[in-house]
Amino acid sequence: MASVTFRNLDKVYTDQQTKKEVHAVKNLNLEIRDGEFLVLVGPSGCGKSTALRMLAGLEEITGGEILIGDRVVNDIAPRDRNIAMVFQNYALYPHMSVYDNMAFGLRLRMLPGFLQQLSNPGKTAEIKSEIDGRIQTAAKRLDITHLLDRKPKALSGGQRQRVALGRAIVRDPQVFLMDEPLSNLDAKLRVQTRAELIKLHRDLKATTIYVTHDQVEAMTMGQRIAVMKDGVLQQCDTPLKLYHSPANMFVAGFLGTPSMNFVMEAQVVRNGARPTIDTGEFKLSLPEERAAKLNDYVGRQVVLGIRPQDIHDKALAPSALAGETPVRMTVDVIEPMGAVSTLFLNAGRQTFVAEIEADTTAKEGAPIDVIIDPTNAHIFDKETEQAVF
Amino acid sequence: MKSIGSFLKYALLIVYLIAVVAPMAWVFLTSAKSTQEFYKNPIGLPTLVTAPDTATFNAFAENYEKAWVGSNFSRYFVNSVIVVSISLILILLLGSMTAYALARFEFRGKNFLYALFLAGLLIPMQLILIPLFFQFSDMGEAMTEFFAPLARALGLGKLTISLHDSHFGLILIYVAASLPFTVFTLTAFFRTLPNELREASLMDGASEYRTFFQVMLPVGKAGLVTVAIFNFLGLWNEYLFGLVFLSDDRLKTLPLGLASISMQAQYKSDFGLLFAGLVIAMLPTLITYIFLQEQLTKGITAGAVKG
Repeated sequence: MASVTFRNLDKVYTDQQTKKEVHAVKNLNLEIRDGEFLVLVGPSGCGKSTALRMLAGLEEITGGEILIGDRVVNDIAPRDRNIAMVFQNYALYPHMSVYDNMAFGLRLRMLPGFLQQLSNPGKTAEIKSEIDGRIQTAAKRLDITHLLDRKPKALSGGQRQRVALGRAIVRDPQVFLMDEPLSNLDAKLRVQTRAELIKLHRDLKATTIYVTHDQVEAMTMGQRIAVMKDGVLQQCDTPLKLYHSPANMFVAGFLGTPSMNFVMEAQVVRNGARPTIDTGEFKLSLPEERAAKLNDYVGRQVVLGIRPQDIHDKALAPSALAGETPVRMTVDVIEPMGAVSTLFLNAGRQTFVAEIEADTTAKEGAPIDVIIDPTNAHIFDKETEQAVF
Repeated sequence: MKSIGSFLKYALLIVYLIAVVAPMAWVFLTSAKSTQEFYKNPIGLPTLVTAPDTATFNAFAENYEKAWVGSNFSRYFVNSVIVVSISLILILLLGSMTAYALARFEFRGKNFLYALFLAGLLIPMQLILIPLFFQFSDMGEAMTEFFAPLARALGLGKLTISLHDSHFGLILIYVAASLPFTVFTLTAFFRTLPNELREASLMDGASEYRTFFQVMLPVGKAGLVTVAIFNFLGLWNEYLFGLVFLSDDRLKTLPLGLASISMQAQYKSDFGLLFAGLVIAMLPTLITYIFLQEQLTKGITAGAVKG
């Protein structure tokens, strides 16, 4: 196992169709610790897969360095990087049985040349039985022992996924790369496999880099999450840190479902000790300890961010929020989800999404009094889109 | 409405089937008739089928014996097998490697190279026949000169290399003439194979060569079989280049042999012999097609990627 370091990594390539230069990865600096499970997440085209493929050695590096452990691997061929990758479409060798799929890499790495095999049959048999042992162990771990003789086309999607994982783990590589490995599975299997992957990582303690565009996968699987957009790393931290203190509007909006509400034209006003945000439709008083950070913004426009979970029905609000001033909004649509309901609310020109306990008495088209939790409100600089807090 | 449509469809298919099978069946049946019988009954079933006796069987056996032994068909057959099989091996090896590089790698001059192969498809072979004839004379002389010191050093005396009247020369032409089509078809085919297979193999520790031979080539078997069949059919029946470049009877291939019997048949009117020769020439093609047609239609990539 080893750590992975991206140092000032850049990737520029020419799109074959449009003949335009694409700056896919811009000055990426990131360190993945030994044994860590890091998720690279972002919308499609954000450069996450490109970064992964550069680490794998499948794309050339335009600038900067990639280190595996202490070794710079820029000019090292993929096969000498000791990395295993699970592809989105699994990329199993269709003409080989599951067993041979798993054995292919091991045979290449462990068996000596053909002539040496002939001259030393004893040693060769020994190595072959070791390969067999490793395949059996991995197959048992993934519960695919009964599939070893089959060809990939005789397997279901979930089974192929396991074989692809098996092919990666038998090699015991320094780093695992996974490029959207769950996106070809149906929803139920995806949730199940997600949990199995987490368990597998806990057992193997292998450095893993997992690329996905699905923020739920990122939140549930990553020990740390690196959020990318347009080739630029936005923020890298633990899931809860990202959720509670996003560095900018993109991260705030990308993580969490439903996504964060933004009030684009909010004004900071001073109202006694507590700084207050005036949205034009209602005022929201923030806790006193936030005042210092907002000093520079008094009288200026900012962006207010509120998570749907921080908007409460006044009748059901926790007692800690009892002293807050309620805001009157109109219920547009109610989507009951079971335990909670998603409410689409209007406050004048502004619309909000709120997640409220299902036993709310709110009616579509009727007004509702809500309380916004001021301690969890986020403020962003309107020009830079960076978080103030 | 639907039944009329399917009736028409089947009617058309049956007409097509008859158009294809009838002449072939006629050749097979006629090869079992003696010349006298052929004149009496050119279209019907041979007496070997309707009223078999020793005499008719002997006539049938005699036709094949005359063709195989008397008219040197055994030699023509072996010549054809040698020329076509070596050509095919070279075509498939060189063609698949070229096509793979063109389909999978980015390099300077790639589009030009591809266009060059494409241009090869547009040149009618009859057009280059005469220049090629003279070029082969020059190449033969040049090669003789080039290898002369080596031949002397080995004590072989004067060694004359000629591309005329040699299987080597014919193979060279066949390979060169077949490569454009092969490269064109295989490039399109290799582009359809998932690139992740190559990447997975490279990460598994294979070199580009091993990846090509152990992963991409087996996965691309369906495409290889397709071009192999097309090339086989073309080369097995090739007449023009054989006629121009081979004059020694011992080197002739089947189509040339067949032509020489059909010319003799004009004077001797030995139709049994002629049709027996046709059957001998046709059988390998038929057998190849019957055995490989399943490969042709079977998509071996099934299961490589999600499906």
